[in-house]
Amino acid sequence: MRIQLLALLAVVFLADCASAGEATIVLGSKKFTESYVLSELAKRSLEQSGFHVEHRPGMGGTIVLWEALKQGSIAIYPEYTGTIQEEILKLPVAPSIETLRQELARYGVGITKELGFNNTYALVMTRARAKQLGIQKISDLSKHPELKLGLTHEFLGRHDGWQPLEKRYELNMPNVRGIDHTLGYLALLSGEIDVKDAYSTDAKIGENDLVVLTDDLKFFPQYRAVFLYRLDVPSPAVQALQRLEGTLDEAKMIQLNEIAERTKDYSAAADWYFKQIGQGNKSSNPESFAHRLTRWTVRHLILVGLSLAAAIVIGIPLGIYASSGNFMGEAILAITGLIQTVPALALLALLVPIPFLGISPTTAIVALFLYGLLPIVRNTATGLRDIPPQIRDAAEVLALKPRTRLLSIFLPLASPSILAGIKTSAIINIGSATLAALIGAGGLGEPIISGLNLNDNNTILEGAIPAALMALAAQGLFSVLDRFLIPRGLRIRPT
Amino acid sequence: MIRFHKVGKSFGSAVALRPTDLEIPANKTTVLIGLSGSGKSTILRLISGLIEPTTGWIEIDGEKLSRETLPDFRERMGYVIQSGDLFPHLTARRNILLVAQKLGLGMPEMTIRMEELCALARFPTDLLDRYPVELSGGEQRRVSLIRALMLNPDILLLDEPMGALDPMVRAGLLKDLKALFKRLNETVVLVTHDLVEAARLGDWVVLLKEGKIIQQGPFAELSLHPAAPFVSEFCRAQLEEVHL
Repeated sequence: MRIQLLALLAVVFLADCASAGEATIVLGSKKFTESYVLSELAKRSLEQSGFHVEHRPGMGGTIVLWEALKQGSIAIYPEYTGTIQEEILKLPVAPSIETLRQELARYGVGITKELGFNNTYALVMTRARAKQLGIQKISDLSKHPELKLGLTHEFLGRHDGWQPLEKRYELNMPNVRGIDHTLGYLALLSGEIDVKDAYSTDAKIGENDLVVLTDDLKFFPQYRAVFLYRLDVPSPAVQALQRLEGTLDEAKMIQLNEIAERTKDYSAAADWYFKQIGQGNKSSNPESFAHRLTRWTVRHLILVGLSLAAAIVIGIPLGIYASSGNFMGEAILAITGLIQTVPALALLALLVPIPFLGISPTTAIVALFLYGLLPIVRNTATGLRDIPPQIRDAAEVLALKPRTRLLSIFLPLASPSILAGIKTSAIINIGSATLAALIGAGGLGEPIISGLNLNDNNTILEGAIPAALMALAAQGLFSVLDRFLIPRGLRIRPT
Repeated sequence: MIRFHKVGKSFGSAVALRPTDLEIPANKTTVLIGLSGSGKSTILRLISGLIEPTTGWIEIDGEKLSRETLPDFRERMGYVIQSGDLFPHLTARRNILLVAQKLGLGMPEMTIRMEELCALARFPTDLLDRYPVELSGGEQRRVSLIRALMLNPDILLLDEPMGALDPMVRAGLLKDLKALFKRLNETVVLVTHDLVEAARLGDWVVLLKEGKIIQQGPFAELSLHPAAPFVSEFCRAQLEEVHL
């Protein structure tokens, strides 16, 4: 019965992978509005050229998208020249597009011409606060070391980010903390922080009348938007991307970002763009909510189901081994515990460069499997260790083979603990699987990440409510399973 | 006959049994008696192979007990451990038949044997399908005894079989055990801290203190001719308890 369920999941999973295979161009985008919008524009342009396009939105950061592109899990994504220079190719000076093209070709990757605008990093403040302190330029910050800075984690870590900027401007700001980009705007507006990093085309700058501090030492490199594509995409697809070259200036991009955030709909921004250039056709296949929800839920179930099945199959034997309490057993418990402390996004980033994994649902399943191990291994080991000594002695002197002892006596006695571990693992995985969307593996995390980015609670709830219901359903299902799998003698109370 | 040759057992620096020579006669009931920590349970666990001697060796019917010979000996031994040695996830019936089943013995014969033993141990067969938690302490002990006797062992080992029972139940079981041992005519080794049990059941009584044999012989000899002050003190202390 359980085996049949696993087989079913595997078939659905493989079918799912295969459907995204042939003749479909897969687009990626980063986890912020502009990237979503640019990919939506590319999608529309490619569809006009007759391609079937799948957009995997909101993937987690440059490294993830670059690896995905090189490995072919995505074919196209929007990127910025400054990021290509600093983060991908690690070149010391700002090169021309031609130089970038030559360098990228070595990885089998092509680059379009500039789309038009320069979306550089910027430091922003509220107009009131900047006026009050008389701050106009980044160098003015040196007079106010007391200011609180809330910077995105990416900006804090970048080669062209906070640390070199602080050095270049000879600033000494002790109050710096990492905060999510969208949440950072809320913190800035509520006065919890004074300064944050932004992209110069952020819709929020115009919307909230923020002041962009002048980069008076010309620290930030140019971030001109381009599309990166695999050189093996068909040339009509490249031509579709090239139609977007040079068509977007800063004002237009801010407006597109603003439309997307106001309507909570990226395709609305694309509609507006194509109406502007006189091609007012709507997206060819708007997906219904029911269809989207089904797609997210099925994918989520596959991610959780397969990872949990693997965690059970591997975790129980590891737990049995660990219950002996020898050095290796303790090491197994320590390692599974250690995995649990690695943040989900970091674990995904560590797994992505591993051959066979890359940017794929498999990576998400492996990460979830690793997270799911600890409760199962630990509860199996604890359940076995807690068997009373007189039961152990009785089993040993009864002339039973070690295998029989384990299967007929010890495992059934430990079953309540083992099942509790599996239940914990399932519920943790249902929650953690929302992060799979960061590497484009889909699931209910897709609307959550998209909604976080748009600061749109409705979209967040489209993913969060089904995920919560799924966790409750899992809880219920396992309570029913307990009745079948835990021997009756362990469930009844003394008379 | 079970023979100990200078058998000693230590756990780290703690000595459980000093190097001891001991002969346990065949087809008789030997009672090991002493306070807790005297080494009496250690002797039983050494015979059953649950622990291995630190020094010396054990011989059963002229054959040395070792890791290689242990599985064969185990099939010839029955062991009843204090309380709570029944498998809680199995009914009384399955507890009793588990080993026979796993050894592939014929179930019709085994069921008949189980019913005979139930009669012998005065355990009502209509309770066989209950789980251990649904049985009283005395009933659990009887099931444990039947389980130990299923393979018709040559040696029956009992570790405080009446430890956790209330006095009424205990009196009944004591009487039944005495009759049973007589009927079975097996080598029985019983561990207890209770003089009454030793007096009623033991053909041969071995008194231990701090990992050492103080005196051994028929019970009457121990009580009439104590070999050391401890023996008379031990007897007196227990008898006073009865009078109080």
